[in-house]
Amino acid sequence: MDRKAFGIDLGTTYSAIAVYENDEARIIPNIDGANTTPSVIFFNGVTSSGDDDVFVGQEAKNLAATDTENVVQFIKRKMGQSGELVNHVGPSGRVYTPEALSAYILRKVCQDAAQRVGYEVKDVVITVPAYFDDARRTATKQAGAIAGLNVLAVINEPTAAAIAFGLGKGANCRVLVYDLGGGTFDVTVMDIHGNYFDVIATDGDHALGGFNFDGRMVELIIKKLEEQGVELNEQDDALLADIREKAEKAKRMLSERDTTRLRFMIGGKSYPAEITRMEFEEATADLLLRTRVILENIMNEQDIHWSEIDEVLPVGGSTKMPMVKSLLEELSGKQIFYKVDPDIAVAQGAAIFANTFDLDAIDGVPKSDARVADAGDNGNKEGVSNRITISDVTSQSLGVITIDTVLNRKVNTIIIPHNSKIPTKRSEVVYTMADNQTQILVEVTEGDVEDIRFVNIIGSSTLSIPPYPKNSPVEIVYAYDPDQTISIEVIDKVTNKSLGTFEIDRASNMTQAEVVQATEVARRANVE
Amino acid sequence: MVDSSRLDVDSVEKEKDVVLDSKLIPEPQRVYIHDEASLHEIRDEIGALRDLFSRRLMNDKQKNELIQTLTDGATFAFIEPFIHDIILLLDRIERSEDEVVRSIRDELLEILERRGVEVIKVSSEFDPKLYKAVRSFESDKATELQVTQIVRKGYMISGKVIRHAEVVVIRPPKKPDVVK
Repeated sequence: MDRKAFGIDLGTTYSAIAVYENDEARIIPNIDGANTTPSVIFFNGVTSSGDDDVFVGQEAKNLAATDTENVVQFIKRKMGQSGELVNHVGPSGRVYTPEALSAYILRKVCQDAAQRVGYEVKDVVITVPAYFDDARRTATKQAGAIAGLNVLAVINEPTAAAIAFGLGKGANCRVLVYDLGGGTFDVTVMDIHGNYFDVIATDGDHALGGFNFDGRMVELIIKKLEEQGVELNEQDDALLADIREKAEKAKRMLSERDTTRLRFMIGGKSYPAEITRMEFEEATADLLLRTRVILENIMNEQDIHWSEIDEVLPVGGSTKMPMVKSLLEELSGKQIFYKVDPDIAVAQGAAIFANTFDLDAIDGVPKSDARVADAGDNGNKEGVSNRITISDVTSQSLGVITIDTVLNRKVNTIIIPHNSKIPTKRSEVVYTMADNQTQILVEVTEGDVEDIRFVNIIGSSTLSIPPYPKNSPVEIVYAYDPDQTISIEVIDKVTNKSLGTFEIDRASNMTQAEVVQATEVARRANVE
Repeated sequence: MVDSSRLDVDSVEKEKDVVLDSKLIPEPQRVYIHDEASLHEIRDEIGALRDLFSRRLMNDKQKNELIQTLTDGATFAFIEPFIHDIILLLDRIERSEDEVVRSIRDELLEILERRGVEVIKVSSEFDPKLYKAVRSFESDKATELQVTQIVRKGYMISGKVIRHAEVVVIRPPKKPDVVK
């Protein structure tokens, strides 16, 4: 029986699946023949058995306007969060977490791929944005489990793109991946030494993507029509659809030409709308600037000079815009070439990585070490390297809440800074606040700033301490392991004895029992 | 001009020669295998070669299928953006009431039809495989999703949708007992 591992690019707006065979990673089109499937879910009432009837992909998108309450989109942005605000209640009254909803997208993508390849799609590598913290990565793995998949690994999208670029070429270089996806922006600097992918630093903006650029083009077209006296009727569905579709085309067209001429028929009269590349670039300058600031910050923070970057890899469909290429050329001082296909490189890289797993050796054992992934031995297949090793960094800073005694306010003291190499162990010595203090509250935070209003408390524990005079030292040690476990130890520095340890149990992640229950619901559901 | 029948005869004769040649091999050159282990080894080797041969055949079949898929995909990828542009032009023409313009529309539709592009036929029953709802209204008259208006025509080529027909639908009112 055929058995292969697949790579899945689980995107905010679209998802894709690829497989490595005949010495190349190829995208498997979905059942409609498209290379990508919309990451959209629609709950179409209740079946006779009382379960929700679920549509995923293009059909869900087509049904969306018939019942907006039962459509789920952009669920990736809610991964790793919990609560009523992020859950969806299906028509049957059943509550779906973001993990359970993502599972439907994964299931649809795998179901379609299985139909194409003619065998079961079970073992997968799933990609996530580099900025995803461990809660979101765990949520992604759980989504895979709920979909009935064996998640071999969860790897970063830019890393996957770099694998698609560098593997098998004996590359030995420093790469900057500029990933402008449909809904997110990521930048990653990494070193490639053959099959060793060493992430140096990563940063991003998860509210910025190609979607924002499309919106600006729509606004530009409407402005052009209004300048000619057109009063846009918001009920004119045909015109609005026409504008949206032509906006997307115009964006693509302006990647090749300086001007695009659009025409619209409104009230029996023809209206032209000429958009120049310069106008579009002006209208989106602030969006591009946001990516520039992130790029420059990462270089400054890491003290990396552009001359040290050997390759700049543009990833994501929106990087085809000339302004992106110009920006990267201006900053890097190099000519930019599209050495990977920006639309499919992530799924391809995931498929290449998936192919290096020895499925027989790991059968039944989900090996999903996302941070330092040892791909294992895959035998002597032609064109495939035996091992791919990914060394990653922390995507968020981890800290502890302390009291600033001068200003008499709570502050976030960072212990493990963002972009620290994993595994890592760091500590900070703090001091007791009162004489004979018997307890110490350790509140673990996630966030880069000192102001506690802008950080998340991801766990806490109260530990006992022997009575000492005020200002007695206590060391708080954070360890971030390759399996994404964050463990905390508090040491009494007076006696140098441990006061206790605890691990961060992410309250926002589903429990094992909840995953099992959701898996059962998903298994019964009819996904079309 | 090549005489194919002559070629066939030649090849048959050649094959006969080969058979005769093998019979001419002198006795001492023949290899007799007395050792059972060697026999097993040869059997295993033949088995492995047979297995390799079957796998290669299977690979060839998969490669051919892949080439076909890629060729189809490449043709579609090449022609689809062009057809899509024509469809957008047709949309604009649809909104005109000028007789000449409408006759151009008919001609364009005919050209597309000759190239295998069909207009998606829309029935009252909503089909999410072929139609896309752009607006919907609740109606007591609806027992299921029903198409009431075509906003933009849909098109397909060789069973593959280029653009879904964009429609307005009516939907049945929500039952009060539905748990939300």
